[in-house]
Amino acid sequence: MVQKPENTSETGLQFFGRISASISHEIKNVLAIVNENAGLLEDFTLMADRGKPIDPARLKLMAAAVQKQVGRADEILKNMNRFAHSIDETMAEVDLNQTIELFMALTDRFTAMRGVKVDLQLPENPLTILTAPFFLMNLLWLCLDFSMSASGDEKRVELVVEETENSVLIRFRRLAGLSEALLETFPSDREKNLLAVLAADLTAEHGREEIALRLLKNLEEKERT
Amino acid sequence: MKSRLMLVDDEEQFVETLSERLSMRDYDVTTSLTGEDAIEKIKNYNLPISTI
Repeated sequence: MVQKPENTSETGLQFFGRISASISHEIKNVLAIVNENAGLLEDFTLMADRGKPIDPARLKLMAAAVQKQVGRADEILKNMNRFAHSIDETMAEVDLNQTIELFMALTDRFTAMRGVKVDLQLPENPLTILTAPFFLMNLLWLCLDFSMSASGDEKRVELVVEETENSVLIRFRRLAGLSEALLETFPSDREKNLLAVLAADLTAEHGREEIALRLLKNLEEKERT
Repeated sequence: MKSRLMLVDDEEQFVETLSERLSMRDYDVTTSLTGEDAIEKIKNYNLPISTI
């Protein structure tokens, strides 16, 4: 059983709320596009009533646009479902690659809003670890949020996952704006509490322009010690 | 003279479709997908209405 420091629940709720709000915004965007296409279709029918024929090719394009948005909403909701279930079990065996891909999809809107491009480099093969998936995504978000602030004018972050014998290393690189002043604020108590839950280490060096998160492959090993 | 307006939103499909509908209603529509681009366009055009 993972022992949780008191304020991880509050930090977790904030994270859950932030992601949920972003998802609802995305769904609203999808609905707005579908709504405008329905309106355009109505406009065409009104024009047809006045004798201007409807172009079948144009209708085909509109149908494709709506289908694309339905597919987009389906993907958003699948991700939301996976995210919501990530808290079902405090500890679970996951493929880290899939967890990080889900995390990237959930946070894509935040990186886009800040104009930051994230280059993801994952191992070729699945990387199974036993961890606390929700707390891991929460910590990844805090690291990514900080990394975006530290990305400088380049507005680019490399997220690289590397496997070692007993651990995995998640590196946020190319942080051109990383400074000692920024590192005085990070990691704060929020990150430290999550690091404790995950038995993880965080190293940050502004000279190397990166922060690195080391996780155990098997969190139960920490529980036994 | 047509009324001019600007639509600013990062959802390209939404902007394109709404722009087409407004153009059918005889508006002269300018579109932008980013705030920076919108500010540049506002400098160059006399736009009395903005929808953001």
